[in-house]
Amino acid sequence: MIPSIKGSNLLLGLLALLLVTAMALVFFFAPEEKTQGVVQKILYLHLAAVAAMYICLFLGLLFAAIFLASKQAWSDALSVASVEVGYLFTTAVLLTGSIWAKPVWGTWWTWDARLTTTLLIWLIFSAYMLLRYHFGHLHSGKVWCAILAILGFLDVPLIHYSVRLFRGIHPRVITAGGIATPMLWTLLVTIVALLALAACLVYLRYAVEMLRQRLQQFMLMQEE
Amino acid sequence: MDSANYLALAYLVFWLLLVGHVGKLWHQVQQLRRDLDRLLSKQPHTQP
Repeated sequence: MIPSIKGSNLLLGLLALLLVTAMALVFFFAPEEKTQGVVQKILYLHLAAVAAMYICLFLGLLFAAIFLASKQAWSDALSVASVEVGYLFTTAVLLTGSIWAKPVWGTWWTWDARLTTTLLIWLIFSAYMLLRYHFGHLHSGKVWCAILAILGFLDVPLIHYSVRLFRGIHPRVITAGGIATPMLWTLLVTIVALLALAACLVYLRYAVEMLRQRLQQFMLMQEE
Repeated sequence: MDSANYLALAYLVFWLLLVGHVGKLWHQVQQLRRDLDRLLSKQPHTQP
């Protein structure tokens, strides 16, 4: 079935409102942290991007597994849509983390376990993107992409637990003391906003992929 | 560089990435439209 985008104007308007609210909370509501100062506000974006990355890559794995089991076109389309949006957020996590690291750690990059495992997943999904771009029209290409989406996700638990398993410079996100209530609310709203944005991007990419596959079928039928 | 500049840079980079991604989606939609036009132009025209 071809997905519809009818009635999406209202949802897009709500999404825009949610994103503007999140940005307003970050810049005008959340207080400045005492030791890092204003630069600590990168946390809201960085952490929300991490949440979106984890969920999108998990959906990529889930639909890739469904595709391998059922060979249904919709599952492949949902898998590639989720992985592409997950890749976008992985890039955002690496870049915002690097920009945050410079004033706080004094360097753009260090071979800390969490940073290295995040770079590794970015490289794995860069390979996925190349594979999809060049061989995505072939059935075997789709199968290999699904396998790579599943194998790539195995790095996610490693990223998440790397701060506990290995000694490094990257802190645990929220320690036992917790964070101040205005900061917590800002963080929650930013996470919800970026997850809504990710859901919207996944759905749009899924609609495009399904339409593209259906159109290719018609073109092949016409040539025959 | 002032720490406020790093904050601005992080948010700017994020929104630029997002705009780039939406631009890629837009390009894919335009490609679909071109393919659809090509397909429709090959269809036999029916008389009213």
